[in-house]
Amino acid sequence: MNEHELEDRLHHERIILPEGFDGRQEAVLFRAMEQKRRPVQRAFVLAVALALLICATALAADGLGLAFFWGDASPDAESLVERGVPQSGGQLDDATFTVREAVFDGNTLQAVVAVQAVEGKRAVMQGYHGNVSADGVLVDCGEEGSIEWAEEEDGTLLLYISQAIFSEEAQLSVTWPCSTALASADGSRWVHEQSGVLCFEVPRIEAQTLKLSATVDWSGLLTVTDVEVAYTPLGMDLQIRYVPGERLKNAVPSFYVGREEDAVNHRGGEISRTGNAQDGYTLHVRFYTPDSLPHTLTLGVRGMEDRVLFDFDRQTAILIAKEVEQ
Amino acid sequence: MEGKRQRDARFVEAIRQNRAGMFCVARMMLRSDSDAEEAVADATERAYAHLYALRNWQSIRPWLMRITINACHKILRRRKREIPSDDVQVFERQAPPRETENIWALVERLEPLYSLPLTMYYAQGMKLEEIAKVLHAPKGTVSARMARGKQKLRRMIEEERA
Repeated sequence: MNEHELEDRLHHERIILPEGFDGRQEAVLFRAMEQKRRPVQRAFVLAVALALLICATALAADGLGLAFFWGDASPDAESLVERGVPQSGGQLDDATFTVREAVFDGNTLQAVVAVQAVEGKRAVMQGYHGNVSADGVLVDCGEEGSIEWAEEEDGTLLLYISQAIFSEEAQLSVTWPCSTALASADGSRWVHEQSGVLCFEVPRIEAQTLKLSATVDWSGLLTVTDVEVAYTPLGMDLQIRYVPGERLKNAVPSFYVGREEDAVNHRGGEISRTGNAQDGYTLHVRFYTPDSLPHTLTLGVRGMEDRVLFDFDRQTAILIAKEVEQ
Repeated sequence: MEGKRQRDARFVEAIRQNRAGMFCVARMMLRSDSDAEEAVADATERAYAHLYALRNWQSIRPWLMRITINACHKILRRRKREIPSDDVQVFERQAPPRETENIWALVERLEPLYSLPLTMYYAQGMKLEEIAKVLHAPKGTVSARMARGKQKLRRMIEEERA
């Protein structure tokens, strides 16, 4: 095949979208826009933070934190954030890692780590900042979970790390690896790697919990046995225990969870699972910033018509048919 | 300064025009329809939440692609904790038959280093400058990756014919 033929195929053949893609994404779009407070609060937080940085007042030393990354945090949630957490380590030759804020609710640890490179250099992240740069210090922190980043005006790199950690201890002790690397002389790769650890402690927030034990046979695919919800103003953790059917075995169904009236095609937080096909699995779902404990939750699987409706007021779990979309 | 209603209307239009492209990029990185849909949904929510940060509507397409790639990275990190499945075909689309294989099924087999710029350029009609902005790489590097990606594609096609 010559270049012209290949270009022709690349231009004219299309990537096929999944059936119903536009409808589902339209629902996501309008749900995101219904949360009217979020852009206003976020702009306010950003404007205040920038004003403080520009004026270089004492308050500017606090900088941006978890609320900046949450976007629509309630005052209740922000009041739970720990600042000035006891910490040690994080001092490497080319950068310093400092925990600015952290919060832990027994299921999820969230923290903002401020990274400052040595003078004349800029802290950058792998995969997010593209190529090797002579004035860059490649940094990384943490080991699991999700990570986002933002830069402050003075060049400080902020890492927002969210990690699932299950603990009933009153105080969580955390040890995260952190590392740096510098550009090679020819600027082609990262070299001179250095590793260290960042240790800190954060108290656990008490959660409100709900439990529901019920057996629901889901069309032979799996059997749901019970569900547990733990809620704080920071978010909600849902655990659903199920035993897979013979056909499903250890495959990972594409679950989604709906809350209250947002039951149809609602995306619910982060999902992971533990367990095995013989004894059953526990599905862990994390929602961020719900306003209150739920009265009902629905569990669906993409590609299946039925859903399971958990009603915590009535203490029931039943299989319901998918609503007909207009 | 435009009002909120006007801004929201522009955002809706931008998402409708670009979400197919966002899905294509996510599919190249994640190689799963359901994960790619989740990445697009996540990116849509984040884009709206961060809309205040968009200074120029002319650059909304590369901006949305950047957010989509970030959403994909998040899913890739989460995947490390999940148990691999033996039965993914139950819930994923079947690969098309080889005789009539869509060229994009072959592009998907390339590393994201090559498949992403090819997808953005040919499937979405993005300019080299826009792709360079999304990937945080110089234009020359993007060009080189596309050329190399096409070389690998031609080799794959020749090997299949043989």
